[in-house]
Amino acid sequence: MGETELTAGGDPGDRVTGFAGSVVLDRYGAAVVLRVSGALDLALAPQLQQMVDRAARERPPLLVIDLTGLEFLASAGMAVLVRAHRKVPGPTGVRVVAASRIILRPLQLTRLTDELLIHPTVADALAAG
Amino acid sequence: MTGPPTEFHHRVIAAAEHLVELRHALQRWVAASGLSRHRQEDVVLASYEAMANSAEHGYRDRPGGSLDVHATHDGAVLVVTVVDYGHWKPPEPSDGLRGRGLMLIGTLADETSTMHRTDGTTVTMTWRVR
Repeated sequence: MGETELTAGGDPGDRVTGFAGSVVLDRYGAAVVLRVSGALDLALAPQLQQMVDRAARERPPLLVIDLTGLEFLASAGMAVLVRAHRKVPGPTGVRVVAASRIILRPLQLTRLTDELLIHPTVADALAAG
Repeated sequence: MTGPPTEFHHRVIAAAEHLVELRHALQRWVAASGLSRHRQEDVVLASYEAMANSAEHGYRDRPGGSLDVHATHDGAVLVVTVVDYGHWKPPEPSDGLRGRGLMLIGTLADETSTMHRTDGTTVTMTWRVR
């Protein structure tokens, strides 16, 4: 992440906490990073969708959905990732960050690893532009 | 210690917020089953997808219905049964979310069956214990 500067969002809307997970909106330069932690399940999926919509309205060049802090990913959450990838309008590029087996496996089994743009780290996703 | 518990039963209201606790309880039970960690993850995810399906689709006309999750483990097979008392509708071809949930159940479990009863739906998932 080197020279990119993290701008800590002081806006209370930059964080949502669900029953078993949370989403935090961070900014790296012009890019928006949504850090999802805990469980991206039926309860958190609508909240992530709201944050994706909120981030997309800013029309950043890059929207990174960081699943590094996630310990459980259900199909309801995967649907939000797919919707973001397909529906967030240009010029915003959507990238997903995931590296652990428990998160990559459901993405592989449903062949979303072929469709989504997945990077092992946030730094890698930001560098890919 | 008399060995791991071999039966599990929980009944919850089929709603997203109640599934969290049920998933954690199942996870703890499966952790004592002797299955590998990866297979434990498979059991928990497939079972969650079946529960989520009931919460989302089984009770779309009548929210607040209940959901029973039974599981047994006898050293040879581990079986999870998710029972709801609502009405599933056949998935729309465009319904990618539900399609992926059912795909996960089908690929994560060694065997699955779905029984549409007159008063609800029963999903049974079986894993051979290696």
